[in-house]
Amino acid sequence: MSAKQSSLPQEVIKRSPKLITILLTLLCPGLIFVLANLGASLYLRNFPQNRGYWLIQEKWSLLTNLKQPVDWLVLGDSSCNQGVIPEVLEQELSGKAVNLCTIGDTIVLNDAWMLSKHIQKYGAPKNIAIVHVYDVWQREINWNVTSQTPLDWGYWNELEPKVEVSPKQQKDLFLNRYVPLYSQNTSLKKVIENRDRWFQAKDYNLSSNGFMSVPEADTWNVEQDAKGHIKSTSKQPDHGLSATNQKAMDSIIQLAEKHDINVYLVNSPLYEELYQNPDFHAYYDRVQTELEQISQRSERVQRIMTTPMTFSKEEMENADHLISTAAEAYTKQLAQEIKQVSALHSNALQQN
Amino acid sequence: MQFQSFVFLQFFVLFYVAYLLLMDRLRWQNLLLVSASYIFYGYWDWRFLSLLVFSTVVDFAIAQKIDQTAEQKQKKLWLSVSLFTNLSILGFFKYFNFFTASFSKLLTTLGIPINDLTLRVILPVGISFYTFQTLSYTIDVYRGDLKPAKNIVDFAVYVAFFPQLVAGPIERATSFLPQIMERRKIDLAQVNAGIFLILWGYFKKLVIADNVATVADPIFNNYGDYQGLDIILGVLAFTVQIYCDFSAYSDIARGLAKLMGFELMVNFKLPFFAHNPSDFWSRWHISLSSWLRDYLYIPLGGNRQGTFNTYRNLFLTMLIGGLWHGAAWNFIWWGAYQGLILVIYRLFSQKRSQSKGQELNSLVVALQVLVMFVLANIGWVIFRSTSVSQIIYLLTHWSFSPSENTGELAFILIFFTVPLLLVQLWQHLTRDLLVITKLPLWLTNLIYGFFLINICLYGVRTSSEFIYFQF
Repeated sequence: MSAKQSSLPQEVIKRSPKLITILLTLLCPGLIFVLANLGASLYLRNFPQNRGYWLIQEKWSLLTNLKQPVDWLVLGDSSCNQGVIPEVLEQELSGKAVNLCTIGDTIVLNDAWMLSKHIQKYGAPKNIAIVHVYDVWQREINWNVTSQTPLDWGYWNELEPKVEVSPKQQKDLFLNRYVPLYSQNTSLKKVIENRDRWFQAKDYNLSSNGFMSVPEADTWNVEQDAKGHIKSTSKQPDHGLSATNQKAMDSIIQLAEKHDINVYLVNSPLYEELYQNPDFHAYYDRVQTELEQISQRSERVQRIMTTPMTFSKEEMENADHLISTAAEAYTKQLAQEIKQVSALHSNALQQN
Repeated sequence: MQFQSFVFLQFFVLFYVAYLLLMDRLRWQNLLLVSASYIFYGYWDWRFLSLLVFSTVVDFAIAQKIDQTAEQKQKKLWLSVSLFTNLSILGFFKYFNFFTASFSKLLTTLGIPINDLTLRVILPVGISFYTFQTLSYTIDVYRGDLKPAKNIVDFAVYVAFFPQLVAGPIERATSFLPQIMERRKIDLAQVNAGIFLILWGYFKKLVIADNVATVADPIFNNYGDYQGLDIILGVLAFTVQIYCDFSAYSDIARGLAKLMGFELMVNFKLPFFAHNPSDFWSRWHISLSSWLRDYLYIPLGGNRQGTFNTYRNLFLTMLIGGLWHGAAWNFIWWGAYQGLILVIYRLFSQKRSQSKGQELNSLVVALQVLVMFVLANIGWVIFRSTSVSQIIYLLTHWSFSPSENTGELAFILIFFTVPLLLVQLWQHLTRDLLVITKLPLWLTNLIYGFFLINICLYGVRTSSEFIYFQF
């Protein structure tokens, strides 16, 4: 076999194709893409890879499929998702309870929307507990996360508070909601590269009333996470409630006063050594001052666990997430403090 | 405006609808092209639009003067004004700081310390590309190879045509201006080829180049931390990255132009299959290498003035070609290196001329390609390095011994390079760069679908700018 040296390749233009060929060339790859995207969507529904996204969808589904209205609506982030056990709450306080806590990045806006949806669908709950890690209060909307709310397009205009969504944000919302090939590509790539994960459904131990139990502590993770908290709070000493969270709290207070709902603002559990760190403590106190200002705005809003309940690393998954045995203690304490505050509040009302 | 941004997608859709609506109105269509090109360019930094407009007006006027003047001396004078103006702008914005910094460093070394002379000059995007384009226009008019454009809008389209404005191909007025001045037809065969070039371009940039960059970047940025096989992988990754990045821009530009009924020159012809440096430069950045040949190498005397002068001309041309890429010593070393290997190969090829006409065994050809590939890789080490010590380190610390990271780096490199190799091997064997467009329709569509899915899945979201924007 022989080859001539350096005969350069050329662009040989194909003789003019028919218009239908061009149209098919434009449409078919698009169709293939749509089918692949649909496949990815179905796959992720059956084999969820992103715990946060999955949790948002599950908790909203729990809310929209409630058989009856509840007395205790527990709202908040993932620290609450695995920290508050509805059964314990029901035993300690009277009434039906459900844990609808999702993840931190859904911020307080998601709490307000869930309350709004509950009122729309079932009427007002008697009580809501809002449990957040201290740093959620300063966060703004993350559209990647917010897009996972499994309600009809335009839900941000139908629930309280209504939120302005710019065309660019709507584009991001659309991509995140309907194009998992684009928005969940990191998860999908991991699946593609790891054959063991292809048809492995993750079991997240979510109970029918919304409590996620985590059985084992991760002491190394607790310490690493605590270091991260200390680093970020010392880097950013100023704290400010984000505009969206402010708006969400305004809406919650308004709904609470309108429907006579008791609102309990609750601090999440914390790793004991993190809370003892002086820099962190100073930052944490500034958050408390802001939460206090919120609670002062309405008699309906009470603060619970103003001093956070702390735990050892053997009882935690990370610096603000509990394992299930510790969650029981945390929920009992939460119920205890609610009882005390309620009693004080009732006395005050009677005296007035 | 970046080709890989959503803004560009919206911009192009709007532009293209308007463009099609103006299909029978050439003047208006050209006006639309200029406006769109200025918006495209001004999106980066509107201040530099003035430079683009200035170059356009000056060269349009000078070309008219050259054409109207009968006297050769006067023609030469006007050409000198054009050269001086264009090169002064390029020199100031691109090379001022480099030369002053190098000069002050030299004086300091000689014991004459002086204050820092550098200014805060921002490099306008694509200045080297459009300056070379306007220079070729006035030179062609001066040589009598081209009649000047009669309408400044037509000329402005030639200078600022947005698909190729910021990273080429560097078009020649002799082939591009007539396309601008004549009513265009959109041929379906062109559209068919255009769709392939655009999709293949985006795939090369977002899927291949940006992903293999994750192998090349850490190794070049923290080279002291690496040695052995990791260095080889880093260099190979950069070779793949720079080719895919740059050729992707050319492909997208050419594809978009085809959708509008224009033909831009082919800028890359499978450079990894080159047998020798001369062959490499007939396959790599062809619009620049042919520009340097026609406007620098040949005017210097080319190969017509004896062996020594031919070597000198080759070396100088490549040196200036290196400097064109940027105001930094590594580009000068790279240009010198390219000049040197061209000269050495030419020396050997002259000695081998007795065996001319004999067909080469495919094993020999493969060996030649391999040697040239290694030489090109050494060139990219020089190109990407920021200091001589980095070049020396990388060229002396490679080996075949792996580290604990080698497996992961190799996986990324191989995973993303395989589609490139398959397509290129196919193009090489068929000698047809558009071979994919000639497959059965179902297979072409399947391949395009694969490109789209992978762009979405593996496309790097925080995609970096095309490397050649900085030149």
